[in-house]
Amino acid sequence: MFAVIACGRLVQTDFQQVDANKFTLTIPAADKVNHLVFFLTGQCPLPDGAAAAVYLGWPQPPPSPPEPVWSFIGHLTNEKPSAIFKIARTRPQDHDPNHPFLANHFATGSWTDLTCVQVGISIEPVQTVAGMTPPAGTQADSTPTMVAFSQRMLESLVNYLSSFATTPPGAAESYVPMSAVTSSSAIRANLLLLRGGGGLFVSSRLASSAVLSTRPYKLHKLESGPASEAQVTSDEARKYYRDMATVRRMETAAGNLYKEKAIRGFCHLYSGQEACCVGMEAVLDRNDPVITAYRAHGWTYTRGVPVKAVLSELTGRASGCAKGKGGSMHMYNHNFYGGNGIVGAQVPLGAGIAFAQKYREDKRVCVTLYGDGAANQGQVFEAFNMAKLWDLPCIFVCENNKYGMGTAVERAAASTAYYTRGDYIPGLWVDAMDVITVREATRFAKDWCLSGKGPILLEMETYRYHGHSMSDPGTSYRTREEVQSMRQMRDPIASFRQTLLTAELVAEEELKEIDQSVRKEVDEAVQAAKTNAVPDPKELYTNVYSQPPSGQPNYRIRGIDQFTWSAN
Amino acid sequence: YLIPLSSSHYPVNQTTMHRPSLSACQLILRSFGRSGGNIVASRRFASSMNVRDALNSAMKEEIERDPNVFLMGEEVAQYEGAYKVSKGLWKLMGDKRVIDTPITEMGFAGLAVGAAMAGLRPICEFMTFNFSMQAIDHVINSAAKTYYMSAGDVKVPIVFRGPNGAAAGVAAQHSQDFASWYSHCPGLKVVSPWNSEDARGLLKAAIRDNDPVVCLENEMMYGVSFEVSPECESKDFLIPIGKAKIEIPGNHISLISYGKFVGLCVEAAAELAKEGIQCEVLNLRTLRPLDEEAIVKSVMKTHHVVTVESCWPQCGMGAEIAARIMESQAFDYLDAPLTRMTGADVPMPYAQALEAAALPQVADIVRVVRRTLNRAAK
Repeated sequence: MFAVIACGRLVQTDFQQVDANKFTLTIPAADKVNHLVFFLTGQCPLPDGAAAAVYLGWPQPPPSPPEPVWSFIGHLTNEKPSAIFKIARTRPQDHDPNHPFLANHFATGSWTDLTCVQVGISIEPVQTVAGMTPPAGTQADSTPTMVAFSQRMLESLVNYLSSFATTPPGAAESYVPMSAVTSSSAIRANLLLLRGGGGLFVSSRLASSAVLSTRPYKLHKLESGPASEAQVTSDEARKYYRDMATVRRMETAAGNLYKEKAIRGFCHLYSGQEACCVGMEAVLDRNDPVITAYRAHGWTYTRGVPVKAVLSELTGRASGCAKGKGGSMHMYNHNFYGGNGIVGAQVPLGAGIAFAQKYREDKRVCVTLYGDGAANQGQVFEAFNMAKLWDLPCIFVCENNKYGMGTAVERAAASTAYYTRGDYIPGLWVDAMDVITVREATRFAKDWCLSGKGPILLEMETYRYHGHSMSDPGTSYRTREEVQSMRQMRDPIASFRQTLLTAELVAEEELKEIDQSVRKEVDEAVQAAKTNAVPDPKELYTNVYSQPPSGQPNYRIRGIDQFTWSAN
Repeated sequence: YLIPLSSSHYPVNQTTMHRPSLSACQLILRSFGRSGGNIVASRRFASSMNVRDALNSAMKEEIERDPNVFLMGEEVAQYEGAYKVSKGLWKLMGDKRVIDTPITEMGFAGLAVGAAMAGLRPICEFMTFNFSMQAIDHVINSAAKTYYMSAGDVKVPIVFRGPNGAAAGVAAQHSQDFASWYSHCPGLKVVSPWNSEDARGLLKAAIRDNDPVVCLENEMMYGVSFEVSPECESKDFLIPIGKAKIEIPGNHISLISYGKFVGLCVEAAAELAKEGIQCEVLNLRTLRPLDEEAIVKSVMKTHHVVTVESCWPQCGMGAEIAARIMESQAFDYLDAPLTRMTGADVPMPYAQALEAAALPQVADIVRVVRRTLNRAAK
């Protein structure tokens, strides 16, 4: 009775009747499918007064139970026997155990195969179906005229170029370098649009925005959580991709510099955790202070310190963001309080920064990050207590990468549900391998704090690919297979890339361009980090005090013996 | 041999030195049996104030003066201070400026440091500095070092204050003198007031300083009254950080001390003056940075030196002063090695006689001065 076509494939008619009025089939490799066309084959019409409600069931990734989450996407009737649906990955917020398609435990296809989608057709009275609303984004759009198409093409070009905009120091506005305009890539991007536009079908035209779904959250002492889907513009998509790619490449470069012995001491790499800093920064602005621990290079970058200044600081050059005096664990910027070396110490400091904001009545939040290892520190709970007692606008964020140095969370914490460990502070568990999921959680948290409800705790479940630091290969306490599997299955950059391509927000060409541009930026930064000047020897003695003691205006600082002084 | 009395050793009204407090003067003058009342009468001391009120008034004025200044600590608000140093402040200023904290030193010291990094000017009180050990990571790693690590990006204008050293009968865990520990660390300024004038001027200077300052007070001094000069009562009365004060000038031996023990040195000086020994009592006032110039100048003048403190002997303040003298030109002016009088190298006992024997007393200072000057014991 029914058939479905996915573009570029054979028509599928292998519906199985699982109930008196229900039919299902499986569409493999559905993560690559943008649209589905459903139609009545004409073999036999629908009963009078009936409509065929079409559902899609997307499987859930672990640790959720292996059952699909169903959503309604549209319907067919005898009067409208065919329809085309755009299948964005929407799914309901809550798993509905009473959904019609769950009553039958059919297993056509493996639930653990995350790329399949189940299609369910249920024949129901027209009145019932008419009242059901499909989620936004499933209606295929059509642009009837060339004018509208050209408009979209130009919008895309502007979006693409504006991702290259920079503000030179002292300038009042941003500028786009001519190389971006005249480069072949800009033209190629537009040709892509033109070629695709010839057919005037949505499948090869880029959208200027899309609705993406977030991964499910877990709530602690919260009635409701963040949005289950979010509008993402192609501008935003490009920015997030670029920022994550930059952090990844910068950290890789840092690892290489360390192996070459250009970086000494400690070097804790953030690779794998990029979605956390990029996703959070998408909602924060530069007036919201951030403080974190020592795995800080990613945050240093997103807080506005250029890659060159980060890498130079790591190699101890005067062009480093702390003039070479801080090193890996002590990088700062406006409203970025480091970079802190003592595990857990940054948490009361962050509560203090939030205290200052409340004291001054600034409408800002302070984001205070710590790891799963620090989560057991006493001072963290002391900070929680005061933050809740005094309603401080503090977002505590536990970046849980499953290992505190070499100790897996189960071996360190009696309770690994870090998002609940604030006890009286509401908490959210976030799958932090997806940047949009992180973004919406941050939006929720920021709104929470700014509405005067006091602090909130976010647990960002993430993963680090490298060891604890450069001296740790990272394999004595976890398996290589685990690391590899995370890289292959859950990499935040690769999965975001896939999402963008599927949603047609950004062309593959553009992503390649971004990758190349990031590589160039990091390569240049590495060169500078290797060759720039080291600090002047006088810097040994500077910045001990911000002002000399009031009774000793000519105060000198002693060197390694009584003959050696800052000023002689 | 007898040291002749010289007649020109009365305190001269030098502008670089503050006048000795009245009580010290009275002691000296009485012991000389002269009516040195001329000099005393020519000064008008405004009033008498105890150290507690000096600290209280300093904090009150600084909180009123600058909206970013606030006081935070255990029992500082509704209890009016464990030792009543913040009496009346909460009633006057309210919850925003005078804040009671839970008993979580590491947490609230860290919170105060964070607030300072973000631009406020907290006064973080430790009920005693013994409890600061729980928070010392924040004093050193979060406060003292941050300006340096950030290459001048992040200032930490915080004051940590509270009673330091022994009280009376509070035993080992409540009697430690932390002068040595804190003055060891670059990035901190460390002050230790003795009398009311010190307390007012140094605390105000500390609060207005843009760097982290540790202010080591002494519980036993809180109730002691001193005459204070009219200048001391001014709202802008500041004592420069890094400058010692000669409480009593003298030519025969330098007694160098800080905090409560300056008072003991003053008493010892009075007693020694009866036998013609002129002690120069140098009140360090600031422990970091030490006023090395004043130390060297004094020793060059007197050729003999005794330091007095309640830190334990090893790595104490006296050890530092000895090293500095060795390294300076004063070394060539010494007629005898330095003696450092310190707390006994034991945890503080409880029983009164034992406690007394664990710290330098006036009689001990007198004995040591005589010994240094090769005078026979009386």
